[in-house]
Amino acid sequence: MRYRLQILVLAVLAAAHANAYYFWTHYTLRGAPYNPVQEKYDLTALPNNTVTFYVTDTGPSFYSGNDSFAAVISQVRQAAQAWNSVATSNLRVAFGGLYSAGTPQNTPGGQVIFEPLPPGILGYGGVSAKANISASPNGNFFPIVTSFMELTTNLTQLPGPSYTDYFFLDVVHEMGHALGLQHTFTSSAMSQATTRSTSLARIIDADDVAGISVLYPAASFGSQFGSISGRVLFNNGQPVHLASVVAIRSGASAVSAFTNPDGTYRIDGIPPGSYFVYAHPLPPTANVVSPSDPSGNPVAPSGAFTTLFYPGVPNFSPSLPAVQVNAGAVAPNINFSVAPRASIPLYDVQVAAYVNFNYNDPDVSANYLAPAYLYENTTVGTASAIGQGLGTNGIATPGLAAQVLGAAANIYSYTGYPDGLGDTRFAMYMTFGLGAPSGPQHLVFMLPDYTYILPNGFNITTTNAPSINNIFPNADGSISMTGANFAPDTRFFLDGASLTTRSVDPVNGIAVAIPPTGASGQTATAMALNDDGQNSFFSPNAPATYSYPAAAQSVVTLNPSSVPAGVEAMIDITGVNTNFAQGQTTVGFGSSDVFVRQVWVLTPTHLQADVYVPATAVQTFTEVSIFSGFQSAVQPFGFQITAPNPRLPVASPLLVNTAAGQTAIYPGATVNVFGTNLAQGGTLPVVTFNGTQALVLSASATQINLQVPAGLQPGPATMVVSTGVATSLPVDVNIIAIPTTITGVLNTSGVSIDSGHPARVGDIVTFLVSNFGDPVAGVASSRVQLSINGTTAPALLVAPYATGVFQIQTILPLIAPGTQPVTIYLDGRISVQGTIFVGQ
Amino acid sequence: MCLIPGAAPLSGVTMQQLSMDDLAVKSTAIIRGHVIDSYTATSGPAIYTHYHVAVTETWKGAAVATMDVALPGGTTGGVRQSYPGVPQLSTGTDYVLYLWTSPSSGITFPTGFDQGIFTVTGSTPAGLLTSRSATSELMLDAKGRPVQDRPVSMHLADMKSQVATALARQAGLK
Repeated sequence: MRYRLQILVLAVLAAAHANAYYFWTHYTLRGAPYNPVQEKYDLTALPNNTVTFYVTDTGPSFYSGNDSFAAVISQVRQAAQAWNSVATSNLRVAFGGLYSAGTPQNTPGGQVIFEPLPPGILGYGGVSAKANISASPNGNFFPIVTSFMELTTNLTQLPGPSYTDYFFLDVVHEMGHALGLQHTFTSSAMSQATTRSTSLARIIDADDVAGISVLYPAASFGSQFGSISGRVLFNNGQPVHLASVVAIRSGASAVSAFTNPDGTYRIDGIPPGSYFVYAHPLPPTANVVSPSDPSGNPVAPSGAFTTLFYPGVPNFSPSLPAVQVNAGAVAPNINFSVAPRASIPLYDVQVAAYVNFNYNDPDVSANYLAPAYLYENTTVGTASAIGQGLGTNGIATPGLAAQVLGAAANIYSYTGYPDGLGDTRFAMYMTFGLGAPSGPQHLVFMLPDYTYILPNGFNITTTNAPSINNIFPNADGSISMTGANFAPDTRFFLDGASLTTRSVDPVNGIAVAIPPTGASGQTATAMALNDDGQNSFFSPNAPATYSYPAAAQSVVTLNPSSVPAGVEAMIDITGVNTNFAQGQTTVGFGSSDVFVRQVWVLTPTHLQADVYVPATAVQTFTEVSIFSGFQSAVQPFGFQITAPNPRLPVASPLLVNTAAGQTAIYPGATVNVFGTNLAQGGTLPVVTFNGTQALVLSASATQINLQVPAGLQPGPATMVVSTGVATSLPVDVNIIAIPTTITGVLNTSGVSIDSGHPARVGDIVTFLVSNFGDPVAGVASSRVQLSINGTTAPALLVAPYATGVFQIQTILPLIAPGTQPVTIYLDGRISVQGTIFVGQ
Repeated sequence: MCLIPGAAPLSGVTMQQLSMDDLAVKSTAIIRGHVIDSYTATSGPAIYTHYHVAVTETWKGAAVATMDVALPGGTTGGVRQSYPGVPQLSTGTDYVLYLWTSPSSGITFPTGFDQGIFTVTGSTPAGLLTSRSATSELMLDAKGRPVQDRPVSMHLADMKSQVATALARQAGLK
C-alpha cells in the first residue's frame, strides 16, 4: 500500500456537520451550499440528554414456543444499551418500561408498538419530527418529537421469536432509525438488510458510531477520529448528488458519507489509519427518504455512474494509494470524476456459507448463514453470493470476478450455479493466509466495466461455532451449561439477557453462570456467543432452554404515587414477591415526562428511584412497570402527575462538588445544590441528609452551598430542603466513600516539602495519603498513577506508612516551578486534589 | 430446520415474501384505479397519508366507486413522520392495488406495501402491462430465509386471470 502525501487540516469536528452519513435531510437553500438541515432530537429538551423508549403494554399477541413478552422487553432494553454505549455521541438512550397506548406526554421519546400489520409486513420504523426548523448553538435542525418502531403482533413469524439474535439486531436497527439515522451501504447496523453483517459481538459498527456521533457529537468525537473530504463530479463537470463515498481498509469496518447536491462530501468518524476510498452510486433498490428542497419536494440521487477508487481507478488493486487519516484532522481534496452510465449492473450482494449443504436438495439444506462465517482451518473455504447482476440461469455474468480486500484470504476460483430456487448463486473458493485473524473481510466483485464492494462480506473464524447441549440448575442459584467450542471469552445469554459468567472450561465444555431473575414459569432459550460473532444458534439443533420455577405474582407499592409537574423526587418502592437486584432492575413510569435518574436497590423487596418531572409534563395517570431480570410488576395508572406547585422547593439530586476535579459527593464535601424556591426571605434553609442536618454556608432561591454531613455511609442518602415556608420532596443523593486525601509530601530525608524545602525535578518524593487502600491486602503500584500539574507519573512504591495512612513514592517529572496541583488515581478513582511545591 | 443465525437484522421495513397467489388470497380487496388526491391524518400516534383512489375495476371485495388507501408517514399538525422503505402513491397514476383492511383500526393498506402496488402502463400488442420494481428491504420467504425480491411484470389480463384462479382455488372451486 502506498501512501499519499497530503496536507492535514485541523478539523473542528464538534460542530454538527451537514454532509456526513445519511440522515433525514432538508436543503434550506436552492443553491450551494444548500444548507442541509437534519432531523434529530433536541438534546436540550431531553432530561440528561436521554431519549427513553417505551414498549406498549399490550405486547405481541402470538408467540412461538418458549417465547415471551419478558424476552421482548429484555431485547428492547439491551438495544437501548447498545446505542447508549456510543461514548462519542452526546445522546443517551434508555429503556423506560411499559406504557399504555394513548398516554399523553410532552417530552420527546420513543415508542415500540405491536399492532396487526398488513400481510407481508413484519415491521417498520421511523421518526416524527416538527415541520418547523429550530436553531441551536450547533446549528439548525428539525426536532424529533417521537420515534416509532411498529412490529407485528404475531411473533410466530420472523422477526420472532424474540429471543433470537436477529430479533435483537432488528430492534437495534429500527432504534437507529428512531434516533435519526437512515440507511447506509457499509454493512453496518444501519445498512439495508441484504448487505448488513453485524452480529451480537459487533452490534454497532464503525459507520453507526460515526453516524450517531455526527448527529449528536460529544467533545471527544473530533479528537478521536479523523475525516476525509472532497467532491464527486461527473466527468462532464456536473455534481453528483447522493453518491456514497466510503473509506475502507482491511481488518476494520468501513465508514461512509453521502454527497450534497454540489457533489461535496465529508466523511467524519474515521478511526486513524490509511484507507482506500471509493465513490459508488446508490443501488436502485435503495430505500431512503430522499432529502427535500426548500419547498419540501424530494431531491433524487443524480443517477448511475461507475464506481471509482481514489485517485480515479475503476478497478480495485492493492497497490492503489491509500489516504492517511489522522485523529482530529481532515484529509482534503479526495475528489472523484465519475463516468455516468445507464444503469447499475451489480448491487445488493449477500454472501452466505452453507453448513452441510446438499446441492441436490438445496431447499432443505441445513444452515444458511448470512453473513458467511468461514473456518480457516479448512483446506478450502467456500462462500456463496446472491445478488442483482451476478448471473442468470445459473451462469455467472461473463467476466465476473471476485477478490478479498487484504491478505487474510485469497479467492482462487469462482463459478456460478443454479440454487434450485430460481436464482443464480456465485460460489467463491478461497484459501486463508497463514495466521489470518478472525473477523470480517471485505469482498470486491468486478465486472469488466464495473466494480462492486461489499464491506464485511464474510467472516473468518479460527474456531467452530459454540453450542449448548444441556443446562443444569445448581443449588446456589447458578446454572451449569455443557456444550462445545466454548472459549475463555464465550458469553452466555438467556432470552437475550446476558448472564454473569462465573467460569468457562473450554477443554471440557462446561460453563457456570448466574441467570437473571426469571418470570414465573418462564422457559428461557439459551445462547452462547463467541467474540468472533458465532453463536450457538448456528447449530441446526433446537436451542437449549432453562425453565424458571413458578412464582407468586409480584406486587409493588409506591410512596409517593403522585407528584406535581416540575419536581425532582425520590419514589420509595416496596415489593411483595419481588427479587430486585442492582444492575438488573429497571423502573418505568410509562411516560417520557417522568425521567428516572437513578435506581438504588436496597433489598430484594425495597428500592428507591430518583425521578425528574418537567414543569411541562402532561398532568395524567401513567403506568408503572418494574423489571428485575425477566420478573415484572406492572401497575396501570399506578402513578399520577398533578398540577405544578409554583411555591414548592425543588432540589436537584445532582450535587456539584466545589473541589477542583472532584465530581463525587462524599461526607464532609462542600457542594452546591441547585433547584428552585430553595431559600425564602433571606433565611438559610434547613437541609438534611438521612435526617442529619447539613451545614448550610449560603443560599439563594436557585442554589445552596453546604457541607455534606460527616458520618454518612456510602449509598443513597435522602436529602430534604426546608425553607420554613415549604419542604421539598425528598431526593436521594449518591454518597460515596471519602476519597483519598493527600495529607503530606516528604523528601527522601523525611522532611515535609514546602517553600522552604522545595522538591526538584527528578527528586524522589513521597506522598502520604489517607482513605486509600486496604493495608492488609496491600495495593500494587501498577494500580496507582499520579498526575502532577497534568503530567502523569508512575508510582514507584505503594506501602502502608502508619495506621490509616499509605505512602506513595514517585519521581518528580519535568514540571514548572511553584505550587503545583497533585491528584492520585487508584484504579481510576481520583483523590482530592493536593499540592507540591517545586523549586527552580 | 433452517436458521439464519447472525443474519437478518431488519430494515426500515421488514417484509415477508408473498407469492402472487398469497397476495390475492391474503388481500381483503383488489382493485384497479387511479389516485385522485391525498390527505394526511393521525391514528393514535401515527400519521398516515391517505389516497383517494377512483376505482375502475374491482377484482376482489365489494364494488366501490372510490377507495381510501393509506400508507404510514406524512405531515400534519406541524409534525412530519417518515419511514424509510415505505412507498408512496402518485396522483393520476393507474394502479392495481392489493389491499388489506386492519381489523383494529379500519385503515386500508396495500398488502405487503411495495408488494401490493402495481403500476399499469401503456399498452402493448398483447394489452396493458402491470409491474412493480424489486425492493431491497429485508424480505423473508415462508421458511424465514432472507430472499431477494424480484421485479414483477405481467399483462393486466394475466394478472386478473391469476387473481381469479387463486380466489377460485381458495374457495375450492378449482
